[in-house]
Amino acid sequence: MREKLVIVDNISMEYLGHPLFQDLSFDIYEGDKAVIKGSSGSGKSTILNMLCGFENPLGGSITAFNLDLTTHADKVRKYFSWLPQDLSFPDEDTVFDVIKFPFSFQANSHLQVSKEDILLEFDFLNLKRDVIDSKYVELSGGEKQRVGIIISKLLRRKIMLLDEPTSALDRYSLNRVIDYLLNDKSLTIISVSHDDTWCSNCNKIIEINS
Amino acid sequence: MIDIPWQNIGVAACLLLIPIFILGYYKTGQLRTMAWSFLRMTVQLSLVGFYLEYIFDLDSIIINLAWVGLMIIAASFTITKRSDINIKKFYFPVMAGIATNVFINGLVFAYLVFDDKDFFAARYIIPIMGMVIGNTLSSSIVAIRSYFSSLKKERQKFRYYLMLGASREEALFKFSSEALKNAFSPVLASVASMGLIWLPGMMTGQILGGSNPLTAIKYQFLIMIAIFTGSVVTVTVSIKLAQKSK
Repeated sequence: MREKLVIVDNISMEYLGHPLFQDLSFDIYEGDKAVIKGSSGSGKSTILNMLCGFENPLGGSITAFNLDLTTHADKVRKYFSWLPQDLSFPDEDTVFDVIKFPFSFQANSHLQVSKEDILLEFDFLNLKRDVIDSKYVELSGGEKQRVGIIISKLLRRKIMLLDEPTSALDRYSLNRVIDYLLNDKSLTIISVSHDDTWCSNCNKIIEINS
Repeated sequence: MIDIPWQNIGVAACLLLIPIFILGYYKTGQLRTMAWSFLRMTVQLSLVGFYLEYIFDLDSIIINLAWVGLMIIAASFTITKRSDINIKKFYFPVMAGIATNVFINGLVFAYLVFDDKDFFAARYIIPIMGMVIGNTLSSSIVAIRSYFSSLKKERQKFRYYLMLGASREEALFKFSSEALKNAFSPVLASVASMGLIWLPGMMTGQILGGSNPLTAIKYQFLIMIAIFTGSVVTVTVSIKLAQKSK
């Protein structure tokens, strides 16, 4: 039987006095590939922020790994990895610097990742091997997204939170990413996406209607 | 040293008509600030001239140290204000940064470079510490402003690192590193060009005052080391303590 990892119970949120969503509930089980759908500005990314513990719902509760997220965000974060939409890194940082940096954190010291390990992930996602020594700022949007996905996966967290992970990908790369993430039964994913192909490959669709 | 008559200084001040014209022509909106800055400078320098004469005559260690304390208080206020950060929240971290800078440099100057009795004399401690604190200002402002503004603009990146397992300190590491780089790259460039492209003010002043150029160079060398070390210490301590108080 699959374990229930996250319980979102009747949460609501406002933005500048206007309700974004109300009484939203869903559960996430181990191995789920969930996607949050809704129109622009409906609060999809806000839900991911709440799961990260950066914002609290106005009403309702979020429990993850049997802990209340509003009071135990620091403890819960170690179970998640997160890929936000826009990220920038210092101009001089190479792709390898960007990928290696999170593995220098004390909490990730048990994870050993070599350049060859990273290059194998590159091969899988159709990224050219020499991209690893390029400056991160020089990458295209699609390449940056795939680099972010690789970091998230290499961290081997219980749940991956992905905000529009495929918005800049061409059809071929999109299929590779779907195969890399959504067809991997060991991964649990909560994503935000507008992409129909991505959504149709997820087993759980969470619609937001304000 | 040849004294300069006041009317000659007045004539030289006419040079300011050039920046007034240029800044006005390009509508920089800085004329009022410029007038205020030069007015402040004139009043402050006149007062300092008066105070220093008095303090040099007294030459009491306690008063000299109190004067250094006043410089620390004023510099902390300037850095906090110019860095566009919350004065209430960050004044004390910045002050602690400058105080650490003064303490370290003071110890070295008092016990390793000079004889301590000489160093605590008004004619040494006040100008040397004044130069150390004063020259720390601009790089500290650049570093502290760059640190807090990038933290504000790139909150997403800070959160990203937290989510990837960073402790608060680890998540802030890149921000500190960028701030230090932004502040000290130009300083290092100017250190490297010293003596070749420009002659620093202190050395020039000593030579004009009749000192042996070799003695002037020794002082300049020491002061540059003190300023650079002091600036890095000020910025690092300020940022570290500000991180804790946030």
